[in-house]
Amino acid sequence: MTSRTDPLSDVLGLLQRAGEPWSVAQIKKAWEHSGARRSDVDESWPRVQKRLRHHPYVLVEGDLQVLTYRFVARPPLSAADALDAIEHGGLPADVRATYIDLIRDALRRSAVDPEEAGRRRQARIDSLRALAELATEVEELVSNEASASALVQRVRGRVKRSGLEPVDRAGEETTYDRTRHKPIGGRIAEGADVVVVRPGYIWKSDEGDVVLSKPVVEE
Amino acid sequence: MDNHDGAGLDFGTTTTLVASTNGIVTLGESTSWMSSLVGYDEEGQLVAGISDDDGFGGPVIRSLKRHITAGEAKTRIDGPDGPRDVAADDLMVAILRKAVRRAADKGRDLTRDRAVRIGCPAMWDGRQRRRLLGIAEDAGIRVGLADLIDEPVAAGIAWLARKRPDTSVPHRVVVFDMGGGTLDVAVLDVRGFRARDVSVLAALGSTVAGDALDAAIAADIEEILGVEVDSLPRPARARGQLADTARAAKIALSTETEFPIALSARAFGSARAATYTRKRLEATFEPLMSRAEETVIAALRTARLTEQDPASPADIRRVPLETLLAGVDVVVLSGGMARVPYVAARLRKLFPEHTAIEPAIASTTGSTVESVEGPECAVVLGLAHAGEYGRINMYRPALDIFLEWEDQSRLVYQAYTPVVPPWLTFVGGSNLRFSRNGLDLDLPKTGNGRLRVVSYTGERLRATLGGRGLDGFPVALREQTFEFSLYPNGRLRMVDGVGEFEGRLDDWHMMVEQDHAERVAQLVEPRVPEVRVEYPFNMERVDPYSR
Repeated sequence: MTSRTDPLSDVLGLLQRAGEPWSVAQIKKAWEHSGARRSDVDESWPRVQKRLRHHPYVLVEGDLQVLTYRFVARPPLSAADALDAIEHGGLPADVRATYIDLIRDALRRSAVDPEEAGRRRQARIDSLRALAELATEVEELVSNEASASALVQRVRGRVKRSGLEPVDRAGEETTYDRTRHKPIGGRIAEGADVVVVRPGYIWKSDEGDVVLSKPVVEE
Repeated sequence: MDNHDGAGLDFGTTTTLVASTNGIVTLGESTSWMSSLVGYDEEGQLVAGISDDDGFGGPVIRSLKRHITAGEAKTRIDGPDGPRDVAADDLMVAILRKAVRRAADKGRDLTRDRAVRIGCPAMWDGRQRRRLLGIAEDAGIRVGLADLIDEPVAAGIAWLARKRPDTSVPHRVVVFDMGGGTLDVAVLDVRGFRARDVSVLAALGSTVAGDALDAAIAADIEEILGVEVDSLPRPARARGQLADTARAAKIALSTETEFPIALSARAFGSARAATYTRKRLEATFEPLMSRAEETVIAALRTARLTEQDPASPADIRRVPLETLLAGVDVVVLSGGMARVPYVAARLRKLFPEHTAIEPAIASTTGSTVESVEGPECAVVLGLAHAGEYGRINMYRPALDIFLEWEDQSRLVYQAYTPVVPPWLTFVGGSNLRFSRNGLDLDLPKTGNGRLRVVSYTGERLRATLGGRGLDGFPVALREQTFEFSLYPNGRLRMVDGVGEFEGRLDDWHMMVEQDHAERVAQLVEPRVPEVRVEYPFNMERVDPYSR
């Protein structure tokens, strides 16, 4: 070999520049054209091929008769998939190293990426916008002399679209459950009759329910 | 920071979005998107990306993208010195430039060579696509024809990227993309275990969408209130409030079953309170969804033309509905209207049990209305992920075919030209094809030429004629005896001065034009009366349902 670099890097570079799927014959031919000796290419190919098959930046297509290899700008593997694969074990050392790089890269990007910072800012703005819209809706409804029940219904509907689920209803009677309710004005015995002073709210998140506030009750 | 993975740009009629494979790249001051509106300030300076909330003093130009669809070069604006015509492309360039700048602020360079994929309506032909490319290029975005991805295909890719289904067996996917102004339905085939290919079998468009529903709800509320808006002292104000309330009701009833209406006494007097129910909304939506379903059925019938041995249009019209629907594995919902539960409910009822009805991206109903990634982001997220897939633009050949001789050439087939004109597909005979002959091309009486193929996909061409490659195929020119035909199922046929040659163009399929759905619907089912969208309900408004 004339090149002193890793043969895999040489082949990856060739595939990247090709921009299209290449058969084994095409890869070998281009490798030779780039300055490698035929005998070195033939000797190195089995090892390179094995690594290419597992490489996250390479797509292998076709059947065993006619395999083609294509470089993809972004690996079809996510950082999470790479982590799963490492955890599962059994990866060749070089593939494992590549996957670790992939995860490290993803972590680095998430730490300083202005794109990610923009998304976080946007998520915060969206929460605040929902709050602002709730405030404006209440004010408009009061100005339009909407009934109290209509106002509550609209408020409940609005917050529900933000993923919030009300628990109990202000003014209704229920029995005290210390795991669900928050007492006001002193200790309340389990199972005692109580009145809901203020409803509670649960956030129905993708990961499960998050209790934001328990219903406040009094005897 | 790594800025070398894929990015997508969705230049929409009302909003413009950018995404990377990591998610949305926020463009607005307080929104993830940027408005696609432009205006002129008091000093006559062009300002791109303004929004309705800016209180812009000068003239505002909306829906610029429609100039490409309509083939209009100029747009008229009312300035202080009277109306004047402005080149629509210049205004679109200004919008894209601003998007490029905003994305760069977030570390995303869209000007790198082929850094981005751009969405376009499925019904656009080659000329319209090239026009958008020219605009993008003027804005500093370097892309080729192969980087333009059909919007419904992109929505399908967003679903694929999220679900990553096992496509070692082919999947048939119907994309139902209902926004504010248009409904796009695409029938896709996805196959291939690792490098999944996405082929469009058919793509149809219609104007049955969210704006039409808003107008119908507003008319319904007017009826419930028992008022005639035109007879009120301030009808314009009342109409504006009705339009706002109709949109609010549509959004609220995506999660609630009842929506209390409380309009202002100033505009409506005493008759201003009522309750609008989801049941009533669904009854109002019913005729529109019936028409939308007709578009879906028409798309599935059209997809049948791409089969290896397609039946005649008459036979395809007679294929039972159950047979058409049975082959669909999943219906993917995108666009703002995906938030309305009735859409999914109706499609659930239409398709058999084994067909999954799924949102293109995870959050639909129940999510924050202005969430960073709502269903209206499906297209741009799919565009960002398009690089992970194989051939995706193959339904209308992305290649030019020239006939060359001596120092002359003729364009036999222009990339993205519909293979079959829409009016022919369902009313024409069985020999549906694209065809050019010697007279059309004004060929010489004698000579030797050859076919030259220019592909825009960047992939090796899989086209043969007479047992050899299509590119470079020799053509004997004799007394204008020449005919070149492309069939919807990929068959090629050429007749020249020495004989007839058969061939194939692999892995592509056909589509038809926007009004095709309407035509097919008229032929297959009795026509449902169209809901007319009147002012001010036809006004552009950037809300999560109107993309």
